[in-house]
Amino acid sequence: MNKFLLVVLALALEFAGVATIWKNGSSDATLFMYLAPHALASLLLAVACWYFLSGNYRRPRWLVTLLFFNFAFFIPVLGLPGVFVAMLIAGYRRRSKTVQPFTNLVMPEFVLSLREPEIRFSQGGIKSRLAHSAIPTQQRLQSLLALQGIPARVSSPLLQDMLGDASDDIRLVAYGLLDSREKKITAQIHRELVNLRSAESRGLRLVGLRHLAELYWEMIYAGLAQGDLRTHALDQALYYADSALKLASRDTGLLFLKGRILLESKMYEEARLILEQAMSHGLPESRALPYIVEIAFNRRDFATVQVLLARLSMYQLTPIMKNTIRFWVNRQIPTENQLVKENRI
Amino acid sequence: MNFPRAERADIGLLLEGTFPYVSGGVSSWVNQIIRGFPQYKFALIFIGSQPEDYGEPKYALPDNVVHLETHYLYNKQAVPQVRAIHGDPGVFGNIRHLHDCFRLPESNPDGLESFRKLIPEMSPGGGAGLDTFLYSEESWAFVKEKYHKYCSDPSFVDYFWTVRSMHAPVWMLAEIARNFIPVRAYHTVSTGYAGLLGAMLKEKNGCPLILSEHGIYTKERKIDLFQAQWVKDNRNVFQRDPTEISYFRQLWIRFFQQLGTRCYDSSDHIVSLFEANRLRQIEDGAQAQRTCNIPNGVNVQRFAPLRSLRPASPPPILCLIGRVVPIKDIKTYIRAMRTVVNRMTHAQGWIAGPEDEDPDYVDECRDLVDGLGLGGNIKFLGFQQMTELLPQVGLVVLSSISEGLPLVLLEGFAAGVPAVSTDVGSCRQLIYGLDEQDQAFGAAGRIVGIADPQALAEAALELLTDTAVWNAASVAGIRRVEANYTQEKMFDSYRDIYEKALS
Repeated sequence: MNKFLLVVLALALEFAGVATIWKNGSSDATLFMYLAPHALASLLLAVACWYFLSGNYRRPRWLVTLLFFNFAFFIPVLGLPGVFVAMLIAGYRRRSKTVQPFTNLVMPEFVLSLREPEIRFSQGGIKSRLAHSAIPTQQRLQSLLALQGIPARVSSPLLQDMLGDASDDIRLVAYGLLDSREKKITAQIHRELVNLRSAESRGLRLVGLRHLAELYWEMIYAGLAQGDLRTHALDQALYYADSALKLASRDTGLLFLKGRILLESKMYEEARLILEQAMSHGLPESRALPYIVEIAFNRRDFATVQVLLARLSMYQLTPIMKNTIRFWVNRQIPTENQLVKENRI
Repeated sequence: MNFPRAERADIGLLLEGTFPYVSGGVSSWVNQIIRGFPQYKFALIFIGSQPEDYGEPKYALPDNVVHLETHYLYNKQAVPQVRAIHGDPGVFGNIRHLHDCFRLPESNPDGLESFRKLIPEMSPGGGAGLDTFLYSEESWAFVKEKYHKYCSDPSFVDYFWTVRSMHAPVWMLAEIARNFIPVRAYHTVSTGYAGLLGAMLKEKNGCPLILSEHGIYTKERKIDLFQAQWVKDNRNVFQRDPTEISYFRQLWIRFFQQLGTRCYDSSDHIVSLFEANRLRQIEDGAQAQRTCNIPNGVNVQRFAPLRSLRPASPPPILCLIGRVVPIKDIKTYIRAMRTVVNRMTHAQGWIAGPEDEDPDYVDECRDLVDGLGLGGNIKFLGFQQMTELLPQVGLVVLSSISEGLPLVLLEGFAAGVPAVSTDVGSCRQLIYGLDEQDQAFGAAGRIVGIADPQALAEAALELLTDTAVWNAASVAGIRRVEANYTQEKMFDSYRDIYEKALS
C-alpha cells in the first residue's frame, strides 16, 4: 500500500477522533469513540513510518512498528503529530544526504572543424601550375607540397624538374622531398645489410637478400636514381635477386622481380626467359604477360604483341590496358619493314 | 672558460650559432671583420641552443674583443613562481595590436611603435613580464581567442604549448638586452633571434643597428620547417587539405618571419652579399633605401704565392671544402664521384671540413661511399689549412643546396684553382661574372643544377681533362677575385658604415 496514503488516512482518522471529542464533550463513551480511531491512526502512521525508514533501521519489523505505535498512541496530544513531524524531518534529511554519483551534464558542442579549410584549386593541374613560373611562389609551393600525397613513381620526375626552378624556395622544398624519400630507402638498405651480415640461417639470409633486391628496385621504380647511379642500383638489385634465387630458385616473386630488373636493364631475351620461367612455376599469366608484351614491343615484334594482347584480353584489366588491347587486337599490323618504308619509325 | 668582460665597447656584435663556437663561412667572415678593424673594441653576444651542442671555441679571440657573453635559448631556465595574475588590459591591448600588425602589416603600419612600447613592459614585474605571459587570465583569454579565430588544427592543447614554447626565448632575449654593456652601435650577423635581440637593443637604447645577412635566415628556417618531423598535425582525413601545411608549421614559419621583420624595421643599415639576396630582403619587408650589397672579400696576397706551386696540367683531385652537413649536400658530390671515377679511375675526391656538427650525416656519407664502392677514391680530411690544401687540388667543388657568397670559391680563385658549383646563392656571378665587364674575364669554372650528380661529374671531367680550358678558368678566377672580391674592398665599404653608425 502507498505509504503516503497511509499517512493521509492516519491523519484523517485522528481528526475524526478529535472532532468527536469536540462535538460530544468529555465522557467515557466519547473517550472510547476517540481512542478507537486514534489507535487505528497510530497503527497506520507506525506502518507508514516503517516504510519511510531506510535499510538497517527497518529491522526487526514488528518491534520497530510497535515503537512508533507506542509513541503515537500513548503520548498525549503531541504523540501522533510528533511522530508525523519526525517522519517529515527524517524523510527530508535522507533526501538531502543522498549522494548521487552520476549527474547529467550539458552536452558539449561538437566541433568538427574549427575553421573550414579553403579549397584553393581543383584536383588536377598540379603539373601545369608548377611549370608556370608566373604563378606566385606561395601557390606553387602549395602545389609542390600536395605532391607529398602522390606516389613517388609519379611525383619524383616532377620534383626532379623543380630542382632547376628559378625560385630558391621551390628548389629547396623539392630537394627536401626527394632527399627524404631517398634517405628512407638508403637507411633501410643499410639496416638490411647489417642484418644480412649477422644472419646465420638460410631462411634469414633469403629474407635479407630479397629485401635488398626489392629496395634497390624501389630506388629505380620510384625514380630516385639517375644516370650512373641508376645503373649502379640496377646492378645491385640484380646481384641481390640472383643471390636470393640461389637459395630459392623456384620462388615466383623473385623470378618476377628479376624479370623486371632485366627488362629495365634492356636485357630483353634474358628478361623474357625469366618471366616465362616464373609463369611455369605458378606466376599468374595476367601479371607477367604485360611485361612480355613490352619486351616484344621493344624488339619491334608487333605480331607477337598482338597475339599476346589477345591472350591477355581474357583477364580482368584496367581501363588503360583495355584501351591498349582495343587498339592492337583485330587490326592489320604492318611489319617493321613496311613501317620503315613509310617513314613511320 | 673565462671570457673577457668590459664595462663598455664600441660595437656590440650579435652572433647566433656562429663565431667563435662554430666554424664555417660566416664565422671566418666575423673573424676577418673583427681583425680588420683593430681600432674598434668589440663586445660579443653568442646565442646558441644548448651548451652541449657546442664544444670548445673554434677561433682564438682577437685582442680587440673586450667582452664576450654566451647565452643558450633552450637551456632550462628558472620560471617565475606561480601566482594568480589578472593582467593589465591596457598592455594586452597593445599586444593585441602588435599581433594584428604581424598578421596584416599593410593595414597596421605602426607595428614598430607598438613593439617599442612593449619592450620596457617585458621586464620582471612589468605589464608583459614572463609571469604575466605564463599565468595571467588576460594571457589565457588571448590564447583562447586566437585559437578560436585562426587555428585550423583541432588540438587546443598542442596549440597552447606551441605558443608557450615558441614565445619563451623572447623573454630571455629581453633579459640579455637589459643586461648588456653600453656600446655605440649594434651589429647583428643574421635576423632570427640575434636580429630580434638587435631590434630590442636598438629600440631600448637608441644606438644604430647594422644587419649583415649572409644567407636569408627566414628562408632557411622555412625550408627546415617544411621538412621538420617534430611539428604536429592533428587534422583528420576530412579536415586535411593536402595543399595546406599544418597550422603549427605555419605558425612557426610566421614566427621567424616576424623576427626578421622586427629586425629589418629597426635596422639602420641592411647589408646583403649580392643582389638576389638584397631583393629578397626587400620582398620580406626591408626598406630598399636602407639596403646595400657588400660582397665578401679575401686576402688575395695570402693566396697569390700558391699559384706558382700548381702543376702544369690539372691534378685529378676534386676537393669539396666545407662542413659535412646536409646543406652542403655532400652526398651529391659523392655520387658525382662515382661517375668521375668510372671515367677517370685514378681521380680522387677529397672532403675537407670539420665533421663534428652532424655526426649522423657524416655516417650517412661514409655509408654512401661504401655503398658506391668509392672507399679508395674518397678521403675525409677533416679541417685543413687552405694554403696547404689548395696547391694540391685540381678543382674546388661546391655541391651545396644553399649558399651566400662562399669564401672557399674566392680563396680557390685567388690560388688559381677553378671551381664547379651548384647554381645557388651568388655562385653563378662568381663563376661567370655579374655585369658585362665582369663577364669579360671569362668563366672561372662551371655551374650545374642542384642535386644533379651526373651534371656535376660531367662539368668536373670537362675541366680536368682539358688543360687549356682548365688554365683559362684559372686565369678568369684570378682576374675576377682581384678585380671585385678583395678584402680591402670589403673593409672600405664596412669602414663607411661603421663610421656613419659611430658618428
